[in-house]
Amino acid sequence: MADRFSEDLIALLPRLRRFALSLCRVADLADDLVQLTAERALTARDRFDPTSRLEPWLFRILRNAWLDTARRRRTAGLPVELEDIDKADSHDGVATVEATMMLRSVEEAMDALSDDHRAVLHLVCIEELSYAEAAQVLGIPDGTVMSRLARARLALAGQLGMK
Amino acid sequence: MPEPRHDDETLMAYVDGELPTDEARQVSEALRADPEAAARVALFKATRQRLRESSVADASPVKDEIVQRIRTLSHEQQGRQTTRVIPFRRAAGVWTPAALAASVALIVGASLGYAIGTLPRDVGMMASIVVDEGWRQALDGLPSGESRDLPDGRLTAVASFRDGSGRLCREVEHRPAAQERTIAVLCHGTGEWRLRLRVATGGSDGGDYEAASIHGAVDAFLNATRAGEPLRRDEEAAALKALR
Repeated sequence: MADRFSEDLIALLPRLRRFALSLCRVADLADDLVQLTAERALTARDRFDPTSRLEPWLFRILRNAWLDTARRRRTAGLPVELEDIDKADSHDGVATVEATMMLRSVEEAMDALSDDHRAVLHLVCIEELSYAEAAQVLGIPDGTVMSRLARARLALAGQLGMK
Repeated sequence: MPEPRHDDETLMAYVDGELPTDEARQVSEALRADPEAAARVALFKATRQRLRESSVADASPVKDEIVQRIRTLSHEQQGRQTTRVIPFRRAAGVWTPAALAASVALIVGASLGYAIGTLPRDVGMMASIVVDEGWRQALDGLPSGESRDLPDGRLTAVASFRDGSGRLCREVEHRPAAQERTIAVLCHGTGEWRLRLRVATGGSDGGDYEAASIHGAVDAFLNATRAGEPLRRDEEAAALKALR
């Protein structure tokens, strides 16, 4: 006997995880963020306006959860999370040379961008949110979304060697 | 008279279908006579296209355990109108009943947006924290980010901050045993450290997936107590020194 809200929420979990991964780039932390977002969403469901789309509302909760955990990690971090962060740091000489000779992958190019650029690119180009929705998620004016997105697109194009 | 040149933002909004119809038509016409602008439009189109086709846009499946947990939470929530009272247990001599009532009330406050019912089952059922001499010394001097082994387990200082009343508070992680983890917040008032929040989890049933709930509970508490930003290292050192 599942209700509509919960089913919609569960259906959107993979997209939440995709966005979480884009923000934090660590799989375990992305799992935590998704769970935390879903919990907060269920708790705050009375505050969701059913005439609006669920995606931007959830993305906003997720991004706030990310900011909260980032805030907590800034001083010292929860040890459990720090232990989980074992980003590949094993570039040997040959691989590095090969990588620089090839065009960068989009994923690498995204990694090279600032957090702000990556978030706005993800929301608009991958999640296909409108500018207004992205502004709502990020808590910034529509105009700022436009200018930031344009700069992010050009930065990405630069990373990818597109002219 | 030549058309005014369109800036990058307008060209991008054109690509993204964000321009009003008549403005979009205007841009569309201008592009025919402006190869430079047309090249910019192609670039904005291509960046979006490349992103959509990249692995960044791949589906990101969520582990079954998480989906199950959300389902369970949702069902529990459906059958519950009032939140359960947090099963805190008073640690003898550590805090006063009044302080306990105050912090519980803060946590249960509906405006918090965090249902206590979603806390890990084990909350409050762990061995009590007793702020003995070892704890006092660690709280007085251990910089955040560092750990100390005490007779009752390993204590790690996570962060320091000031609550809404300006009291110095410390968030710590306590591991009484390998599989047990407690997050606690203690605030300094009237010459001693008082336990304000304790969220505990056993390792047996929820495993890694309880971590998010712990953070949620701690976040809710921080919000409720109008906790300030974590102190920087030097600020923390100065604040601790001032206690002595």
